[in-house]
Amino acid sequence: MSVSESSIHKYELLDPDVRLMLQVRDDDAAAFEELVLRYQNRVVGIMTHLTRKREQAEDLAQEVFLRVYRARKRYTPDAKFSTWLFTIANNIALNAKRSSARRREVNIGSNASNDDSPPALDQMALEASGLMPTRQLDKAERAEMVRLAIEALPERQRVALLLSKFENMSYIEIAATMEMTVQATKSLLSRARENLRVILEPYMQDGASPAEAAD
Amino acid sequence: MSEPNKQHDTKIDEELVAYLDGELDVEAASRFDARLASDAALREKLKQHQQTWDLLDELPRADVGDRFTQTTVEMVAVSVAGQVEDAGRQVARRAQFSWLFGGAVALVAAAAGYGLITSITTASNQQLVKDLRVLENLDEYRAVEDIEFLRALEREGLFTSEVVDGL
Repeated sequence: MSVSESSIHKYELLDPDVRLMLQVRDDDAAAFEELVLRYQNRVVGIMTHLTRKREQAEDLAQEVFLRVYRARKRYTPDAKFSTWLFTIANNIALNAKRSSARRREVNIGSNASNDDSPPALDQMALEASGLMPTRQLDKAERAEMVRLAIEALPERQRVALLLSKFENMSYIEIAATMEMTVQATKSLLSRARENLRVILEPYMQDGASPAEAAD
Repeated sequence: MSEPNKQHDTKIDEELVAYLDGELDVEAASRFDARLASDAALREKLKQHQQTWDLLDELPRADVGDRFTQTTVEMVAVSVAGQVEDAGRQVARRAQFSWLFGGAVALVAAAAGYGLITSITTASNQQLVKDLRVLENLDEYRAVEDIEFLRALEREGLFTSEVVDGL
């Protein structure tokens, strides 16, 4: 048995979603519906963080599942199903971003940048401080604060961070999903988490806003 | 900060995050444990990273519900049906093209056949016209049986008057 065949066999055995996808490949509509059910919240969640618009996120998530279905005949289980799915999701999100840029619908502020430039801390703090008086933050406010912090990250850092945190992906899986080396993934995630730490540091001290922490 | 120091810090940051993510091998993880034990600032940074990581749990999770599943499956079904329809149209177009192409080939073949037959028959008629004088006098030629005698008669102008008369 070749390495490739043994690898395929391994994923088929270990990953139930791979087995479902193989049923989809054989035109099993119920298996496809089951896959949508299992992954819809996760894909919409990632897309929401990437696009910042819930409606657009749902449209893109549907596009992801459509691509999955259309690609079913070419599917070979040489990775976990989620790695394959989120590779498609990442490509669709990037294409959507490029299309938006072409239509000049995006802000050209630093928040929307795709490079690894430092996040716009001052802008982020300004936005967040409007939410928070000098007191402990409640749950909704903390969620909003974290959302703003995530949005302040450059896009690739954000994708890597979300895949690591919410998909529990290993560096190897993130590297495969984002089509980069494992070392580059390690470096990207380190920058992402360091940036996030710097952004959220004022909030972590006594749960206060940056303005309060500065007083 | 000088460049070598910055690179050193970057490397430590990468090691720290990989340590938290469980991505260091056993040997590297032990080395990092030893480093943590002797570096209070690094321990503080690790603690902050852990707190930040835990804060991400505050983010609301998406919950799109059954309606999303239903519309997604329907959208895929419609799209696939559209693809099938397109494929059907393409097959029909291809069949139509095949008929047109076949018709054109048949026409060209018919024209070529007609031309060939016409040229063959025209050639044989031309041969008949050319041989007309011989055919008309075939019985006499057979009776004479001497070509030199006939040539002598031709030189005398005997056949010329007969052909002119015949015309």
